[in-house]
Amino acid sequence: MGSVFLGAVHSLGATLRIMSYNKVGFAGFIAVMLILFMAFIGPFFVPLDTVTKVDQIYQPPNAEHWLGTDHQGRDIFSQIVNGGKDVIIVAVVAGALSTLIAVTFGTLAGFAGGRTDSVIVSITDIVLTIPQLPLLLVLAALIKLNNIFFLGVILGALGWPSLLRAVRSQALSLKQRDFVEAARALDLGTMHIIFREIVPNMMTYIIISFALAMTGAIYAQVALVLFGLVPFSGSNWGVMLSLAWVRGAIYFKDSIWYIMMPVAAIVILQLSIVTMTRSLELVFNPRLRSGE
Amino acid sequence: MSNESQQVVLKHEAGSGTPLTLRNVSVVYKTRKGDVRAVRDVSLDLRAGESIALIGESGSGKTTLGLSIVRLLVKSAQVTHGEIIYRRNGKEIDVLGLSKKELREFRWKECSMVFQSALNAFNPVIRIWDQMRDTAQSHGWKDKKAIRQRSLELLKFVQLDAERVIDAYPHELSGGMRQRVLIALSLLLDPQVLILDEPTTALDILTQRTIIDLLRKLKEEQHFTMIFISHDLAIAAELADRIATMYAGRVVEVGSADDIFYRPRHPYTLGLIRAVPKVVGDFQELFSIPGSPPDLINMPSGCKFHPRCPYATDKCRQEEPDLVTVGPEHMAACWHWQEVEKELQSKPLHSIS
Amino acid sequence: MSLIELKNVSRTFGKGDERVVAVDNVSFAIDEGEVLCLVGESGCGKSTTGKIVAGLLEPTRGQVLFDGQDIAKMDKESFRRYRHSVQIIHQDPYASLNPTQTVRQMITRPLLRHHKARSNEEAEKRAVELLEIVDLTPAQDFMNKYPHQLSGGQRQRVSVARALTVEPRFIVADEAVSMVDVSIRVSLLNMLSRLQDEFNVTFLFITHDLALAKYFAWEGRISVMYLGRIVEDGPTRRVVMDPRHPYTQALLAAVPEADPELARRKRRIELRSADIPSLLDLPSGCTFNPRCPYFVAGVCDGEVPPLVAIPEGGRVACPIRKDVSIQLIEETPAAPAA
Repeated sequence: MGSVFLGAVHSLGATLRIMSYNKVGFAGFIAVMLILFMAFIGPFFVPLDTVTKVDQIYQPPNAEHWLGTDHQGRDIFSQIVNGGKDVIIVAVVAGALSTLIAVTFGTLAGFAGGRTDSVIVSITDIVLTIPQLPLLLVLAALIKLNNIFFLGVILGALGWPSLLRAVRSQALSLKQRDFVEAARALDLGTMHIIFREIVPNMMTYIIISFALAMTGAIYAQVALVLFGLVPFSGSNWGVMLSLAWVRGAIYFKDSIWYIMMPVAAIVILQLSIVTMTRSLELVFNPRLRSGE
Repeated sequence: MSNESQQVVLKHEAGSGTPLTLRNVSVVYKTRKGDVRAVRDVSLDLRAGESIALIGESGSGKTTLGLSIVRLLVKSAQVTHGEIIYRRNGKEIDVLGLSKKELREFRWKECSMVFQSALNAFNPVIRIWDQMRDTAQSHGWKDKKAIRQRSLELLKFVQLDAERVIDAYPHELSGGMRQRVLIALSLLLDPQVLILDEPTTALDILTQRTIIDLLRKLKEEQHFTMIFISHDLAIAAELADRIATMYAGRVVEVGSADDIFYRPRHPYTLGLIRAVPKVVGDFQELFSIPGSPPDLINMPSGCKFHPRCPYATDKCRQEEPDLVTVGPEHMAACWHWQEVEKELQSKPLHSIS
Repeated sequence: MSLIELKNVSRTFGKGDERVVAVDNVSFAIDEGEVLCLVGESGCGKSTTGKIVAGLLEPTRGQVLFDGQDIAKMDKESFRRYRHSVQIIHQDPYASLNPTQTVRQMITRPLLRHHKARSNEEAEKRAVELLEIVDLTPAQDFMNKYPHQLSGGQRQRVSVARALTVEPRFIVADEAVSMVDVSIRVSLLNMLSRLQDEFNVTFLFITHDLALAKYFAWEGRISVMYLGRIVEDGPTRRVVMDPRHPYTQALLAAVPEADPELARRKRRIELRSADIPSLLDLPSGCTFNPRCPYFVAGVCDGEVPPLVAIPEGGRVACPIRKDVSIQLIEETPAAPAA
């Protein structure tokens, strides 16, 4: 896979040019970049506001508090800036892990067939039938889920089955292609066939799946926080939402800003990731890469 | 195959005169990489009852030309110049000026096209009978019995087991049967002109033969006026009265089938004929045409064939030749057609003496 | 000893009611440096046979011998040698190359993997040589190209160059020129012939086009397949000029000829049925019997007729017609066909 990525990234300028062919996708890409910048660099400039200010509860956006204030009069903007990092890390870890599992084993199952295939498919079916929320409930009771990497790993470890099935069927059809047969005749080896012949032809698909896995993980973790299954400390868009919910923010007209801001942040992030895939898939199109 | 089916006679009224005239037709495809000039300045007369074959390789513009006659070009393509005039019973129709509704009529009642991929042409969930009935009814046929009668007659004519086929779904039929149904369907509203795009490509040899024989019957017994579009010279040799060779969007030679096969005057036509093997008879040396077909966006200067032509001179590189008369009813667009003639005198093309 | 030999090879697909015998008891041998053409219509089993020969598909029954050794019983090392000695060229120039790889990647990777080149520089040099062998010159212009930047003919040449990386002794060309433009086809065929002359490559050339088979294998042999079985084989000249099996005759008579005079004078052979039987429900005895104009009840629909050698060369699986020659060209032009 390495060379595929290298091929795509070897010239940053060219890659950006190709990505800009799709205007919407490129806008999504820029939005993702801005969000990343805000979430990871922003906290150095906008410290989290932890001071309770009774005189400033539930303010609408104004010059001092760009996004208004919460039930304790704290600045929402600072919470949004500081609350993105964890959400994104969990999304990336979960998305990457489930994509990696799905692509590796899905391709292997499709290509190797026979017993390898049946074993992988059975395991997939078992994992697919596990009810996720109860399992997470149990897990949350047993282990501390407040380590964000750990949460990402668990969400990733549960999120791959449907993607694996899709990858497997793609691999099954690619396996029939003449160039794969030629690679077999040339004795290039199973690893070569999987990672150089089959996977590069699924890149578009993998990118989209990766994005969807990330958005899925974002929803899952927000839901977990919202239901109080994950004892989150600090600030996080999910925690904000949860707090606003617990405080009954939806019942007060004044508090609309408090509950809407984390929702907006989550939606914008999701939207940006999904639209960005439109540009990313172009990067792996050899027609565009060869400068046509 | 049975005798009974061969007795069915269609009452096709052969037209007279010149049913179709193309005058300086040019077609351009707009693409991101630039304009593709797929057809350039083609003029052609189609006489009543004759069959003409458009031959050429992929990208020669033959299919685009066929599609422009029935106005089925994709949106990105446009006829930029020229006229297409259709005539029947003394009336003239300007095909490029037809409205959408008139076009639908035109495509079934006047000038019908049979496409290459017989499977894709059918809706898989509709029986053959429904397809035929829908087509007839949408053109004003009311009498269901008469439609069924006519449909059965046509299916018999194309040598199918009509009673069985008419109630079948497309997937229940073999490729050759579907091709025959398609031909029957195109005859439903008795058009004057039939355009057939690669009618036998992708069919097996024995099936191909039944389709060729069927088309010959349409031509010789029913006197349909037909245009064959094919990359396969053999189809042209089997079925065409006249042949037009296309290269890079232009007709570069047109003449009777015998003229084209035995007395070609354009080096490209000659090259094609020398590249195609024959089955019957002794071994025969074949020659390929060097180079590859032209890039339609960045076409060579002058004669578009010059980079591949053994006769090419500076003149060919600078000026594109027009079609000139090189014999009775025979035209070629080559500065050096006389040299081609000379070479053929020393090495004739006849395979049977 | 033959380079490749098939002994009673059969291959079935599917199970139960869906079971299809794609290749039925096929035997033939190909000597080193020889050309054998496998000819037949779609579904006759010629491609399946080609894949079995190339070791890409296992036969259900029978043996494939390479250099006299059964490939099913080979040790790892011998199988590896066989695997590298036999390469396949596919029909569809748009499917046979990986769209995400450049020509350089496609050709240098096998070279490096199988130590045909010890360094990147050496692989590069060898790749250029191979591209020149297949007439892709100047080779450097092609190295960085992706498949979509090449014409159909050029792609087929890249396929051949890629196959040559492992220095094969045997190439299965499965309809390798069928989808290429007419004007380029001959030069591709000539290039393949040159490999045969210069590198002593042995060919199994699979095609539905009898005229191409005749041209490419004029000095070699032709085997005609119908519904999974070989019905006739022999030296190309004999099969084409004096076909004996009614199916071979029907095929030769049916092929449209690119010559109006020939087209008019070619003999027509009327078949009793235009329909090809389904592979799921094959007729008993000779599978051509429901269509054959020379059908004899009790003979043709009984036992499967064996391939019997004839004195003129090759074998014919038709006890009725194996000794009867027919004329394929009428002396006088035929009347317009009815």
